[in-house]
Amino acid sequence: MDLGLTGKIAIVTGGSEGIGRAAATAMAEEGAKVAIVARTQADLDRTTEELKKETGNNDILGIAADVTDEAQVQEMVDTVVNTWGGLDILVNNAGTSSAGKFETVENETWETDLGIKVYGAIHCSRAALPHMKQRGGGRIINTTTPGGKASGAGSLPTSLSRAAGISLTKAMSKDYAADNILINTICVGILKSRQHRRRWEAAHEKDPSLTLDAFYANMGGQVPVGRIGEAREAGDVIAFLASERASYITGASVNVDGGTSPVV
Amino acid sequence: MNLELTGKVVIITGGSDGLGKAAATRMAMEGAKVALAARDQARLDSAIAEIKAATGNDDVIGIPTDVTDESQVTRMVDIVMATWGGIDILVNNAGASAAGKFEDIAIDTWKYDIQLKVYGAIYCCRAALPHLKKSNAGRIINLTTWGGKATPGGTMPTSLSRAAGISLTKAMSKDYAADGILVNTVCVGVIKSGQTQRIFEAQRKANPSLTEDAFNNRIGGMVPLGRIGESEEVGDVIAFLASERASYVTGAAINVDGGQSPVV
Repeated sequence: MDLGLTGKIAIVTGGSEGIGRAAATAMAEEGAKVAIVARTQADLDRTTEELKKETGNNDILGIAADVTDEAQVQEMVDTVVNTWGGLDILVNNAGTSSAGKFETVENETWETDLGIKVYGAIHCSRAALPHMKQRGGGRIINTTTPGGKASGAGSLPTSLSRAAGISLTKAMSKDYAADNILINTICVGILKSRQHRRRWEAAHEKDPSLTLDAFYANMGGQVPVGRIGEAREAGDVIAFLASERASYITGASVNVDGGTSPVV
Repeated sequence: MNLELTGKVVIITGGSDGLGKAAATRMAMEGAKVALAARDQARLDSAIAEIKAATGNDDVIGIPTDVTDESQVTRMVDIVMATWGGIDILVNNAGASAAGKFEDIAIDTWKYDIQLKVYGAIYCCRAALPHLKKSNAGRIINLTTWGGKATPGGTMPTSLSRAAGISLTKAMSKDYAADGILVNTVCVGVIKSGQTQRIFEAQRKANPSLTEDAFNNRIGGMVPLGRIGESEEVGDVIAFLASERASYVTGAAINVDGGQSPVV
Protein backbone atom coordinates (compact mmCIF):
# COMPACT_ATOMS: atom_id res chain seq x y z
CA MET A 1 0.00 0.00 0.00
CA ASP A 2 1.51 3.32 -1.05
CA LEU A 3 1.50 5.57 2.02
CA GLY A 4 2.08 8.74 0.00
CA LEU A 5 4.95 9.77 2.29
CA THR A 6 7.53 10.44 -0.44
CA GLY A 7 9.16 13.81 0.14
CA LYS A 8 7.19 14.50 3.33
CA ILE A 9 9.25 16.12 6.08
CA ALA A 10 9.03 14.55 9.52
CA ILE A 11 10.44 15.23 12.98
CA VAL A 12 10.61 12.36 15.48
CA THR A 13 11.57 13.23 19.05
CA GLY A 14 13.18 10.51 21.09
CA GLY A 15 14.25 9.27 17.67
CA SER A 16 17.60 7.67 18.40
CA GLU A 17 16.17 4.42 19.80
CA GLY A 18 13.10 2.30 20.41
CA ILE A 19 9.73 3.40 19.04
CA GLY A 20 11.04 6.70 17.71
CA ARG A 21 13.79 4.98 15.76
CA ALA A 22 11.28 2.44 14.43
CA ALA A 23 8.88 5.19 13.30
CA ALA A 24 11.76 7.02 11.62
CA THR A 25 12.76 3.79 9.86
CA ALA A 26 9.24 3.09 8.60
CA MET A 27 8.80 6.64 7.28
CA ALA A 28 12.28 6.76 5.72
CA GLU A 29 11.53 3.47 3.93
CA GLU A 30 8.48 5.17 2.44
CA GLY A 31 10.58 8.07 1.13
CA ALA A 32 10.05 10.69 3.84
CA LYS A 33 12.77 13.10 4.95
CA VAL A 34 13.23 12.42 8.63
CA ALA A 35 14.87 14.44 11.40
CA ILE A 36 15.48 12.44 14.54
CA VAL A 37 15.81 14.39 17.75
CA ALA A 38 17.40 13.32 21.03
CA ARG A 39 19.71 14.78 23.65
CA THR A 40 22.93 12.92 22.86
CA GLN A 41 24.67 13.74 19.58
CA ALA A 42 26.70 10.50 19.59
CA ASP A 43 23.53 8.38 19.76
CA LEU A 44 21.99 10.45 16.97
CA ASP A 45 25.05 10.09 14.75
CA ARG A 46 25.08 6.33 15.19
CA THR A 47 21.34 5.95 14.54
CA THR A 48 21.43 8.32 11.55
CA GLU A 49 24.13 6.22 9.88
CA GLU A 50 22.26 3.00 10.64
CA LEU A 51 18.98 4.36 9.25
CA LYS A 52 20.65 5.52 6.04
CA LYS A 53 22.12 2.05 5.53
CA GLU A 54 18.92 0.19 6.45
CA THR A 55 16.56 2.27 4.33
CA GLY A 56 18.79 3.49 1.49
CA ASN A 57 17.37 6.94 2.18
CA ASN A 58 20.01 9.63 2.76
CA ASP A 59 17.56 12.32 3.86
CA ILE A 60 18.03 11.60 7.54
CA LEU A 61 19.14 14.27 9.96
CA GLY A 62 20.10 13.92 13.63
CA ILE A 63 19.51 17.06 15.68
CA ALA A 64 20.53 17.25 19.33
CA ALA A 65 17.86 19.00 21.42
CA ASP A 66 16.39 18.76 24.89
CA VAL A 67 12.62 19.00 24.38
CA THR A 68 12.15 20.40 27.87
CA ASP A 69 13.91 23.58 26.68
CA GLU A 70 11.68 25.68 24.45
CA ALA A 71 14.60 27.58 22.90
CA GLN A 72 16.34 24.35 21.87
CA VAL A 73 13.08 23.06 20.37
CA GLN A 74 12.62 26.25 18.35
CA GLU A 75 16.19 26.01 17.08
CA MET A 76 15.67 22.36 16.14
CA VAL A 77 12.51 23.13 14.15
CA ASP A 78 14.27 26.06 12.45
CA THR A 79 17.10 23.73 11.42
CA VAL A 80 14.64 21.28 9.84
CA VAL A 81 12.77 24.02 8.00
CA ASN A 82 16.00 25.66 6.81
CA THR A 83 17.31 22.29 5.57
CA TRP A 84 14.25 20.95 3.79
CA GLY A 85 11.97 23.97 3.38
CA GLY A 86 9.02 22.96 5.53
CA LEU A 87 7.51 20.53 7.99
CA ASP A 88 4.66 18.05 7.53
CA ILE A 89 4.81 15.53 10.37
CA LEU A 90 5.71 15.76 14.06
CA VAL A 91 6.01 12.65 16.21
CA ASN A 92 6.11 13.59 19.89
CA ASN A 93 7.75 10.48 21.22
CA ALA A 94 10.44 11.67 23.65
CA GLY A 95 9.76 10.29 27.08
CA THR A 96 10.92 8.37 30.07
CA SER A 97 9.00 6.14 32.38
CA SER A 98 8.81 6.44 36.12
CA ALA A 99 6.08 4.74 38.07
CA GLY A 100 5.27 4.51 41.75
CA LYS A 101 2.68 5.04 44.43
CA PHE A 102 1.60 8.64 44.97
CA GLU A 103 3.59 9.44 48.11
CA THR A 104 6.76 7.83 46.81
CA VAL A 105 6.94 10.23 43.88
CA GLU A 106 9.25 13.17 44.68
CA ASN A 107 8.43 16.66 43.46
CA GLU A 108 11.48 16.56 41.26
CA THR A 109 10.24 13.35 39.62
CA TRP A 110 6.86 14.95 38.88
CA GLU A 111 8.59 17.93 37.34
CA THR A 112 10.95 15.89 35.20
CA ASP A 113 8.15 13.67 33.94
CA LEU A 114 5.78 16.52 33.12
CA GLY A 115 8.69 18.50 31.65
CA ILE A 116 9.69 15.86 29.11
CA LYS A 117 6.32 14.35 28.25
CA VAL A 118 3.82 17.19 28.59
CA TYR A 119 5.86 20.37 28.08
CA GLY A 120 8.08 18.58 25.56
CA ALA A 121 5.05 17.84 23.38
CA ILE A 122 3.66 21.36 23.92
CA HIS A 123 6.95 23.04 22.96
CA CYS A 124 7.36 20.90 19.83
CA SER A 125 3.74 21.39 18.76
CA ARG A 126 3.93 25.17 19.26
CA ALA A 127 7.07 25.39 17.14
CA ALA A 128 5.75 23.06 14.42
CA LEU A 129 2.20 24.41 13.96
CA PRO A 130 3.03 27.60 11.98
CA HIS A 131 4.96 25.53 9.43
CA MET A 132 2.21 22.94 9.07
CA LYS A 133 -0.37 25.69 8.54
CA GLN A 134 1.87 27.16 5.87
CA ARG A 135 1.95 23.79 4.06
CA GLY A 136 -1.86 23.58 4.13
CA GLY A 137 -1.92 20.72 6.60
CA GLY A 138 0.10 18.33 8.68
CA ARG A 139 0.17 15.52 11.19
CA ILE A 140 1.00 15.30 14.85
CA ILE A 141 1.29 11.88 16.45
CA ASN A 142 1.78 11.67 20.20
CA THR A 143 3.14 8.57 21.89
CA THR A 144 1.21 7.80 25.10
CA THR A 145 0.21 4.66 27.01
CA PRO A 146 -3.06 2.84 27.85
CA GLY A 147 -2.38 3.93 31.46
CA GLY A 148 -3.35 7.44 30.39
CA LYS A 149 -6.91 6.19 29.73
CA ALA A 150 -7.15 3.67 32.54
CA SER A 151 -4.60 4.42 35.25
CA GLY A 152 -3.51 1.58 37.49
CA ALA A 153 -2.03 1.64 40.99
CA GLY A 154 1.64 2.55 41.23
CA SER A 155 1.67 4.20 37.81
CA LEU A 156 2.38 7.83 38.71
CA PRO A 157 3.68 10.14 37.37
CA THR A 158 3.75 8.42 33.95
CA SER A 159 0.03 7.69 33.73
CA LEU A 160 -0.81 11.31 34.57
CA SER A 161 1.53 12.67 31.89
CA ARG A 162 0.07 10.19 29.42
CA ALA A 163 -3.49 11.23 30.27
CA ALA A 164 -2.35 14.79 29.55
CA GLY A 165 -0.96 13.64 26.19
CA ILE A 166 -4.29 12.04 25.28
CA SER A 167 -6.15 15.20 26.32
CA LEU A 168 -3.73 17.34 24.28
CA THR A 169 -4.40 15.09 21.29
CA LYS A 170 -8.19 15.40 21.46
CA ALA A 171 -8.34 19.13 22.15
CA MET A 172 -5.75 19.99 19.49
CA SER A 173 -7.50 17.74 16.96
CA LYS A 174 -10.59 19.94 17.35
CA ASP A 175 -8.57 23.20 17.32
CA TYR A 176 -6.62 22.42 14.16
CA ALA A 177 -8.99 20.30 12.04
CA ALA A 178 -9.93 23.41 10.07
CA ASP A 179 -6.22 23.80 9.22
CA ASN A 180 -6.17 20.19 8.01
CA ILE A 181 -3.71 19.21 10.72
CA LEU A 182 -4.62 15.71 11.92
CA ILE A 183 -3.64 14.84 15.48
CA ASN A 184 -3.67 11.35 16.95
CA THR A 185 -2.05 9.28 19.64
CA ILE A 186 -0.87 5.71 19.93
CA CYS A 187 -1.19 4.19 23.39
CA VAL A 188 1.68 1.76 23.62
CA GLY A 189 1.98 -1.13 26.01
CA ILE A 190 5.12 -3.11 26.79
CA LEU A 191 7.56 -3.00 23.92
CA LYS A 192 11.20 -3.96 23.69
CA SER A 193 13.22 -0.83 24.35
CA ARG A 194 16.49 0.37 25.80
CA GLN A 195 14.53 1.22 28.93
CA HIS A 196 13.58 -2.43 29.48
CA ARG A 197 17.03 -3.55 28.41
CA ARG A 198 18.51 -1.44 31.20
CA ARG A 199 16.14 -3.12 33.67
CA TRP A 200 17.28 -6.50 32.41
CA GLU A 201 20.93 -5.45 32.79
CA ALA A 202 20.27 -4.56 36.44
CA ALA A 203 18.45 -7.87 37.03
CA HIS A 204 21.15 -9.77 35.15
CA GLU A 205 23.80 -8.38 37.50
CA LYS A 206 22.00 -9.90 40.46
CA ASP A 207 21.16 -13.13 38.66
CA PRO A 208 23.66 -13.87 35.86
CA SER A 209 21.60 -16.85 34.68
CA LEU A 210 18.74 -14.55 33.61
CA THR A 211 18.89 -14.16 29.82
CA LEU A 212 17.35 -11.22 27.97
CA ASP A 213 15.00 -13.61 26.15
CA ALA A 214 13.83 -15.09 29.47
CA PHE A 215 13.38 -11.59 30.89
CA TYR A 216 11.25 -10.54 27.89
CA ALA A 217 9.31 -13.82 27.93
CA ASN A 218 8.44 -13.19 31.57
CA MET A 219 7.20 -9.67 30.76
CA GLY A 220 5.27 -10.99 27.78
CA GLY A 221 3.39 -13.33 30.07
CA GLN A 222 1.45 -10.32 31.41
CA VAL A 223 0.24 -9.38 27.92
CA PRO A 224 -2.92 -10.99 26.46
CA VAL A 225 -1.19 -11.86 23.18
CA GLY A 226 1.50 -13.53 25.27
CA ARG A 227 4.55 -11.59 24.18
CA ILE A 228 6.28 -8.25 24.53
CA GLY A 229 5.97 -6.10 21.40
CA GLU A 230 8.71 -5.10 18.98
CA ALA A 231 9.39 -1.38 18.59
CA ARG A 232 8.68 -1.81 14.89
CA GLU A 233 5.06 -2.79 15.67
CA ALA A 234 4.50 0.71 17.06
CA GLY A 235 6.65 2.42 14.43
CA ASP A 236 4.53 1.02 11.61
CA VAL A 237 1.31 2.30 13.21
CA ILE A 238 2.89 5.77 13.53
CA ALA A 239 3.91 5.68 9.85
CA PHE A 240 0.37 4.68 8.89
CA LEU A 241 -1.16 7.52 10.92
CA ALA A 242 1.30 9.94 9.28
CA SER A 243 0.27 8.70 5.83
CA GLU A 244 -2.22 9.76 3.20
CA ARG A 245 -4.07 6.52 3.90
CA ALA A 246 -5.15 7.89 7.29
CA SER A 247 -6.58 11.13 5.88
CA TYR A 248 -9.89 11.01 7.80
CA ILE A 249 -8.43 10.02 11.19
CA THR A 250 -8.02 12.77 13.75
CA GLY A 251 -8.61 12.84 17.49
CA ALA A 252 -8.17 9.07 17.69
CA SER A 253 -6.17 6.97 20.11
CA VAL A 254 -4.92 3.59 18.98
CA ASN A 255 -3.96 0.98 21.55
CA VAL A 256 -0.76 -0.77 20.43
CA ASP A 257 -0.48 -2.94 23.47
CA GLY A 258 -1.14 -6.57 22.61
CA GLY A 259 -4.53 -6.28 24.30
CA THR A 260 -3.36 -5.08 27.73
CA SER A 261 -5.62 -2.03 28.12
CA PRO A 262 -8.95 -2.58 29.92
CA VAL A 263 -10.55 0.07 27.68
CA VAL A 264 -10.66 0.61 23.91
CA MET B 1 4.38 -0.41 3.03
CA ASN B 2 4.09 -4.15 2.52
CA LEU B 3 0.91 -5.27 4.30
CA GLU B 4 1.68 -8.97 3.73
CA LEU B 5 -1.92 -9.72 2.83
CA THR B 6 -0.99 -11.88 -0.15
CA GLY B 7 -2.97 -15.11 -0.08
CA LYS B 8 -4.89 -14.19 3.08
CA VAL B 9 -8.58 -15.16 2.99
CA VAL B 10 -10.99 -12.39 3.93
CA ILE B 11 -14.74 -12.30 4.52
CA ILE B 12 -16.40 -8.88 4.35
CA THR B 13 -20.07 -8.61 5.23
CA GLY B 14 -22.01 -5.78 3.63
CA GLY B 15 -19.25 -5.98 1.05
CA SER B 16 -21.13 -4.93 -2.06
CA ASP B 17 -20.95 -1.17 -1.60
CA GLY B 18 -19.52 1.69 0.45
CA LEU B 19 -16.95 0.94 3.14
CA GLY B 20 -17.14 -2.82 2.65
CA LYS B 21 -16.40 -2.56 -1.04
CA ALA B 22 -13.57 -0.07 -0.40
CA ALA B 23 -11.98 -2.43 2.16
CA ALA B 24 -12.39 -5.35 -0.27
CA THR B 25 -10.76 -3.38 -3.08
CA ARG B 26 -7.72 -2.41 -1.00
CA MET B 27 -7.22 -5.93 0.33
CA ALA B 28 -7.64 -7.46 -3.15
CA MET B 29 -5.07 -4.94 -4.41
CA GLU B 30 -2.70 -6.25 -1.72
CA GLY B 31 -3.20 -9.82 -2.93
CA ALA B 32 -5.83 -11.14 -0.52
CA LYS B 33 -8.61 -13.56 -1.49
CA VAL B 34 -11.85 -11.76 -0.80
CA ALA B 35 -15.36 -13.11 -0.19
CA LEU B 36 -18.13 -10.52 -0.15
CA ALA B 37 -21.30 -11.38 1.75
CA ALA B 38 -24.41 -9.29 1.11
CA ARG B 39 -28.08 -9.90 0.46
CA ASP B 40 -28.45 -8.71 -3.10
CA GLN B 41 -26.97 -10.91 -5.84
CA ALA B 42 -27.07 -8.18 -8.50
CA ARG B 43 -25.15 -5.73 -6.25
CA LEU B 44 -22.65 -8.47 -5.40
CA ASP B 45 -22.10 -9.24 -9.08
CA SER B 46 -21.42 -5.63 -9.97
CA ALA B 47 -19.09 -5.17 -6.97
CA ILE B 48 -17.10 -8.29 -7.91
CA ALA B 49 -16.71 -7.13 -11.51
CA GLU B 50 -15.62 -3.69 -10.33
CA ILE B 51 -13.06 -5.03 -7.82
CA LYS B 52 -11.59 -7.51 -10.31
CA ALA B 53 -11.23 -4.77 -12.93
CA ALA B 54 -9.69 -2.29 -10.46
CA THR B 55 -7.20 -4.70 -8.89
CA GLY B 56 -6.45 -7.37 -11.49
CA ASN B 57 -7.08 -9.92 -8.73
CA ASP B 58 -9.51 -12.67 -9.76
CA ASP B 59 -9.81 -14.21 -6.29
CA VAL B 60 -12.99 -12.32 -5.46
CA ILE B 61 -16.26 -14.12 -4.80
CA GLY B 62 -19.72 -13.04 -3.71
CA ILE B 63 -22.01 -15.08 -1.47
CA PRO B 64 -25.61 -13.91 -1.07
CA THR B 65 -26.14 -13.85 2.69
CA ASP B 66 -28.53 -12.29 5.17
CA VAL B 67 -26.41 -12.00 8.32
CA THR B 68 -29.53 -11.83 10.52
CA ASP B 69 -30.03 -15.54 9.74
CA GLU B 70 -27.51 -17.79 11.49
CA SER B 71 -27.99 -20.69 9.09
CA GLN B 72 -27.21 -18.46 6.10
CA VAL B 73 -24.06 -17.24 7.87
CA THR B 74 -22.92 -20.80 8.54
CA ARG B 75 -23.53 -21.69 4.90
CA MET B 76 -21.55 -18.64 3.75
CA VAL B 77 -18.57 -19.58 5.93
CA ASP B 78 -18.77 -23.17 4.66
CA ILE B 79 -18.62 -21.93 1.08
CA VAL B 80 -15.52 -19.83 1.80
CA MET B 81 -13.88 -22.86 3.48
CA ALA B 82 -14.78 -25.10 0.54
CA THR B 83 -13.37 -22.53 -1.91
CA TRP B 84 -10.12 -21.50 -0.22
CA GLY B 85 -9.62 -23.92 2.67
CA GLY B 86 -9.21 -21.38 5.47
CA ILE B 87 -10.22 -17.98 6.85
CA ASP B 88 -7.79 -15.38 8.17
CA ILE B 89 -9.77 -12.15 8.38
CA LEU B 90 -13.40 -11.33 9.14
CA VAL B 91 -14.74 -7.81 8.61
CA ASN B 92 -18.15 -7.34 10.26
CA ASN B 93 -19.42 -4.40 8.25
CA ALA B 94 -23.05 -5.24 7.41
CA GLY B 95 -25.35 -2.61 8.85
CA ALA B 96 -28.00 -0.02 8.32
CA SER B 97 -28.61 3.19 10.17
CA ALA B 98 -31.74 4.15 12.07
CA ALA B 99 -31.69 7.11 14.45
CA GLY B 100 -34.34 8.80 16.52
CA LYS B 101 -35.51 9.79 19.97
CA PHE B 102 -36.26 6.93 22.36
CA GLU B 103 -40.08 6.97 22.22
CA ASP B 104 -40.18 7.43 18.46
CA ILE B 105 -38.53 4.08 17.87
CA ALA B 106 -40.95 1.23 17.25
CA ILE B 107 -40.03 -2.03 18.97
CA ASP B 108 -39.60 -3.70 15.59
CA THR B 109 -37.02 -1.07 14.66
CA TRP B 110 -35.07 -1.87 17.84
CA LYS B 111 -35.24 -5.57 17.13
CA TYR B 112 -34.16 -5.27 13.52
CA ASP B 113 -31.23 -2.97 14.30
CA ILE B 114 -29.91 -5.23 17.05
CA GLN B 115 -30.52 -8.35 14.98
CA LEU B 116 -28.59 -6.95 12.01
CA LYS B 117 -25.70 -5.24 13.74
CA VAL B 118 -25.22 -7.13 17.01
CA TYR B 119 -26.45 -10.65 16.18
CA GLY B 120 -25.10 -10.34 12.64
CA ALA B 121 -21.59 -9.81 14.04
CA ILE B 122 -22.07 -12.52 16.69
CA TYR B 123 -23.21 -15.11 14.11
CA CYS B 124 -20.28 -14.33 11.81
CA CYS B 125 -17.76 -14.49 14.68
CA ARG B 126 -19.18 -17.79 15.94
CA ALA B 127 -18.99 -19.35 12.51
CA ALA B 128 -15.55 -17.97 11.65
CA LEU B 129 -13.73 -18.48 14.99
CA PRO B 130 -12.87 -22.18 14.63
CA HIS B 131 -11.18 -21.32 11.33
CA LEU B 132 -9.56 -18.10 12.56
CA LYS B 133 -7.96 -20.11 15.37
CA LYS B 134 -6.15 -22.16 12.74
CA SER B 135 -4.83 -19.07 10.98
CA ASN B 136 -1.44 -17.73 12.04
CA ALA B 137 -2.73 -14.16 11.61
CA GLY B 138 -6.41 -14.17 12.59
CA ARG B 139 -8.17 -10.83 12.58
CA ILE B 140 -11.69 -9.58 13.31
CA ILE B 141 -12.51 -5.98 12.43
CA ASN B 142 -15.89 -4.60 13.47
CA LEU B 143 -17.41 -1.50 11.91
CA THR B 144 -19.00 0.74 14.52
CA THR B 145 -19.52 4.49 14.96
CA TRP B 146 -18.18 7.04 17.43
CA GLY B 147 -21.76 7.36 18.70
CA GLY B 148 -21.18 3.97 20.32
CA LYS B 149 -18.56 5.59 22.61
CA ALA B 150 -20.17 8.99 23.13
CA THR B 151 -23.88 8.83 22.45
CA PRO B 152 -25.75 12.01 21.46
CA GLY B 153 -29.55 12.34 21.74
CA GLY B 154 -31.68 11.18 18.84
CA THR B 155 -29.27 8.44 17.81
CA MET B 156 -30.97 5.26 18.91
CA PRO B 157 -31.10 2.40 18.08
CA THR B 158 -27.89 2.74 16.05
CA SER B 159 -25.73 4.12 18.86
CA LEU B 160 -26.84 1.33 21.19
CA SER B 161 -25.97 -1.36 18.65
CA ARG B 162 -22.63 0.35 18.03
CA ALA B 163 -21.85 0.46 21.76
CA ALA B 164 -22.52 -3.29 21.76
CA GLY B 165 -20.11 -3.70 18.82
CA ILE B 166 -17.38 -1.85 20.74
CA SER B 167 -18.01 -4.01 23.82
CA LEU B 168 -17.91 -7.15 21.70
CA THR B 169 -14.57 -5.99 20.29
CA LYS B 170 -12.93 -5.40 23.68
CA ALA B 171 -14.21 -8.57 25.35
CA MET B 172 -13.37 -10.78 22.36
CA SER B 173 -9.90 -9.20 22.09
CA LYS B 174 -9.22 -10.47 25.62
CA ASP B 175 -10.86 -13.87 25.04
CA TYR B 176 -8.96 -14.68 21.84
CA ALA B 177 -5.57 -12.97 22.28
CA ALA B 178 -4.11 -16.29 23.37
CA ASP B 179 -5.28 -17.77 20.05
CA GLY B 180 -3.45 -15.04 18.17
CA ILE B 181 -6.71 -13.50 16.93
CA LEU B 182 -6.60 -9.70 17.01
CA VAL B 183 -9.97 -7.95 17.35
CA ASN B 184 -10.43 -4.25 16.66
CA THR B 185 -13.09 -1.77 15.62
CA VAL B 186 -13.14 1.35 13.47
CA CYS B 187 -15.59 3.98 14.70
CA VAL B 188 -16.70 5.79 11.60
CA GLY B 189 -18.34 9.16 11.19
CA VAL B 190 -20.15 10.38 8.08
CA ILE B 191 -18.77 8.63 5.03
CA LYS B 192 -20.04 8.62 1.43
CA SER B 193 -21.80 5.32 0.95
CA GLY B 194 -24.82 3.66 -0.60
CA GLN B 195 -26.61 4.72 2.56
CA THR B 196 -25.81 8.46 2.22
CA GLN B 197 -26.60 8.17 -1.51
CA ARG B 198 -30.07 6.84 -0.68
CA ILE B 199 -30.65 9.62 1.87
CA PHE B 200 -29.64 12.18 -0.75
CA GLU B 201 -32.03 10.68 -3.31
CA ALA B 202 -34.89 10.75 -0.80
CA GLN B 203 -34.19 14.41 0.01
CA ARG B 204 -33.94 15.33 -3.66
CA LYS B 205 -37.46 14.00 -4.19
CA ALA B 206 -38.71 16.62 -1.72
CA ASN B 207 -36.33 19.28 -3.06
CA PRO B 208 -35.46 18.71 -6.75
CA SER B 209 -32.94 21.56 -6.82
CA LEU B 210 -30.70 19.79 -4.24
CA THR B 211 -27.42 18.72 -5.83
CA GLU B 212 -25.24 15.89 -4.50
CA ASP B 213 -22.38 18.33 -3.86
CA ALA B 214 -24.67 20.62 -1.85
CA PHE B 215 -25.91 17.62 0.12
CA ASN B 216 -22.37 16.41 0.85
CA ASN B 217 -21.22 19.93 1.75
CA ARG B 218 -24.06 20.31 4.21
CA ILE B 219 -23.10 17.04 5.93
CA GLY B 220 -19.40 17.93 5.74
CA GLY B 221 -20.09 21.21 7.52
CA MET B 222 -20.81 19.24 10.71
CA VAL B 223 -17.36 17.62 10.62
CA PRO B 224 -14.27 19.35 12.09
CA LEU B 225 -12.28 18.52 8.94
CA GLY B 226 -15.01 20.26 6.97
CA ARG B 227 -15.93 17.42 4.64
CA ILE B 228 -17.70 14.08 4.45
CA GLY B 229 -15.30 11.12 4.32
CA GLU B 230 -14.63 8.91 1.32
CA SER B 231 -15.25 5.19 1.72
CA GLU B 232 -11.59 4.52 0.74
CA GLU B 233 -10.49 6.46 3.82
CA VAL B 234 -12.16 3.79 5.94
CA GLY B 235 -11.31 0.85 3.70
CA ASP B 236 -7.59 1.63 3.96
CA VAL B 237 -7.73 1.66 7.77
CA ILE B 238 -9.47 -1.73 7.74
CA ALA B 239 -6.79 -3.11 5.41
CA PHE B 240 -4.06 -1.77 7.71
CA LEU B 241 -5.66 -3.38 10.79
CA ALA B 242 -5.95 -6.66 8.86
CA SER B 243 -2.28 -6.50 7.95
CA GLU B 244 0.94 -7.84 9.48
CA ARG B 245 1.88 -4.21 10.20
CA ALA B 246 -0.80 -4.06 12.92
CA SER B 247 0.42 -7.20 14.68
CA TYR B 248 0.41 -5.72 18.22
CA VAL B 249 -2.92 -3.87 17.89
CA THR B 250 -5.88 -5.56 19.55
CA GLY B 251 -8.81 -4.27 21.56
CA ALA B 252 -8.51 -0.85 19.93
CA ALA B 253 -11.33 1.39 18.67
CA ILE B 254 -10.07 3.86 16.09
CA ASN B 255 -12.12 6.93 15.23
CA VAL B 256 -12.25 7.46 11.47
CA ASP B 257 -14.54 10.44 11.63
CA GLY B 258 -12.73 13.60 10.57
CA GLY B 259 -12.56 14.63 14.22
CA GLN B 260 -16.27 14.47 15.09
CA SER B 261 -16.18 12.30 18.19
CA PRO B 262 -15.98 14.15 21.51
CA VAL B 263 -13.84 11.29 22.90
CA VAL B 264 -10.70 9.51 21.67
